[in-house]
Amino acid sequence: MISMMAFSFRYYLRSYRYIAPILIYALSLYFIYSVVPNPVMPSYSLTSSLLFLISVWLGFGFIDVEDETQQVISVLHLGNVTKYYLSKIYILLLITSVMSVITTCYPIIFDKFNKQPTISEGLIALVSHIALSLLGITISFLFTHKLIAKLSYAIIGLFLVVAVTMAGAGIENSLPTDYRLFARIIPPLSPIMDTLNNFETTTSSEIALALFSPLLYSSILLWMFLKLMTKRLF
Amino acid sequence: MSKSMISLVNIERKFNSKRVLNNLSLTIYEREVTAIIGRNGSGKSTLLNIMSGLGTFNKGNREVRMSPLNRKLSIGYAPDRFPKLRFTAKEYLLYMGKIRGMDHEQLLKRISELFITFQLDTWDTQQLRTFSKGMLQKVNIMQALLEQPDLLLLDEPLSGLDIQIQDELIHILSQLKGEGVTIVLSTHERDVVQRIADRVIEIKNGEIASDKRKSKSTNPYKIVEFIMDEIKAEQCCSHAEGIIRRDKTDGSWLVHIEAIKCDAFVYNLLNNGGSIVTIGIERTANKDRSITDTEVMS
Repeated sequence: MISMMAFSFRYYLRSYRYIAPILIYALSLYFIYSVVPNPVMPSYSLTSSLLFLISVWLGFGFIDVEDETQQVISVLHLGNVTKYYLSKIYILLLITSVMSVITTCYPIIFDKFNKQPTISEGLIALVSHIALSLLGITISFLFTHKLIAKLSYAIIGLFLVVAVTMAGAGIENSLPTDYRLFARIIPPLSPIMDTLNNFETTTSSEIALALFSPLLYSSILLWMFLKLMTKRLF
Repeated sequence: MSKSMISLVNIERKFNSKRVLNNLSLTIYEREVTAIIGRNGSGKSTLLNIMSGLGTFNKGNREVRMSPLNRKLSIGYAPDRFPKLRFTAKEYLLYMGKIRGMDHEQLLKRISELFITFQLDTWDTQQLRTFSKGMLQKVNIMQALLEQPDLLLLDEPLSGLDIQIQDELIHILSQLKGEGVTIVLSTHERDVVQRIADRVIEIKNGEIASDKRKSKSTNPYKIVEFIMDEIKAEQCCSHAEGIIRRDKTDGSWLVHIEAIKCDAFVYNLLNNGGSIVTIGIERTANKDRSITDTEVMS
């Protein structure tokens, strides 16, 4: 599977599809921290939600980057369609993990905060970025050409899901109390943002739950995706 | 009859509401070359996709025999279209071999052999996107042959290629056939069907319209007349399979050979500097002739 990952990564690098999202992310990061000083955890809340959006973009560009004929050849050589898609997830997760580390370290190294973050704050920020990028990747994978053939439908659908995800807290609050449980189907971006924005008043168990929920949600999406892809081959 | 390698039983495949394969049953036998013919849209590519194990179907069963060492059947598949990738030919084949789990040294050796066989050895460091259609098709077939497959599936391997490259590919396929590789190919070219196919299946409207096996008894032998240095000729003949008899006449050699082995033998002769004078057909070889010192019974 390492060779498959290496091939997919090389293929992706040579497609240049990563340039726009990564450039926009780098510029956004630069502008966010262009004014100093910044509050620690609210800044991380903003950058993690931004990384979520960039991960959706990266994932959508990555999942169908390989020519369809080449996908057939790759899967046949690899001998397993699940391994094929897992290798794609791992590559993207590796890319976004590097981005998460840079995002977490950059403001600390260049002294962009109003105070020096503690180790636990730094670690929670890092996990938040990785968890939300995984959420973005798994959401975008469900809009692959194999599941939604028409590109325009896929893009519109993805925009809608991203919009609903970003507005998750607002939607939940606007629902009558009896129906708030339905808001649980919305991808859990807002719990992490709320937790980071109100970090001083949040308990450890609430932080753990907020970090765990996107990981659990992503795992369910990934399981669904792999099940669908083994049924819809070529 | 050979052992079955792969069986499709009552396969039905629909795309939206259109039925592309309709209750189709088919068994592929080992060491046979099966040509699947039919019009565009008749379901040939879908059938090959299903045989490869990557194509899905709505109804029916796909049964695959395990290979002799009880490992998963090794399938080489060359789809009908090969993309112009941003990789060099050698880099691409290295990646495919590694994905397949091949040993690095063994892989490098195999890739060099394939480049020589397919006469692309001067193109190994060139980008695939600069390749012509024929050259891409060669790389397509090369990736399918990185490991000697138990079953080789070729979707229209000669489509769009010029006559010379078609001829080269037919020679290569004949050689593979001689090495005992089971081949299934979809094709429009009658030449391929006539030269290498043992069995011809015609697909019409998603069903098998005809399934004909070439009768070996009506045309089992060929006579090849060729000119070659004596030592090399001896070597070629001693290594070839299926030779019934060989005679040396003034300056040329006359070999009676099983038709199924003929193409591989001719390919070998040409590769060793021989030149072919004629290739003829004989209905039955005269096995009753007494053996002289220039004759060998297979």
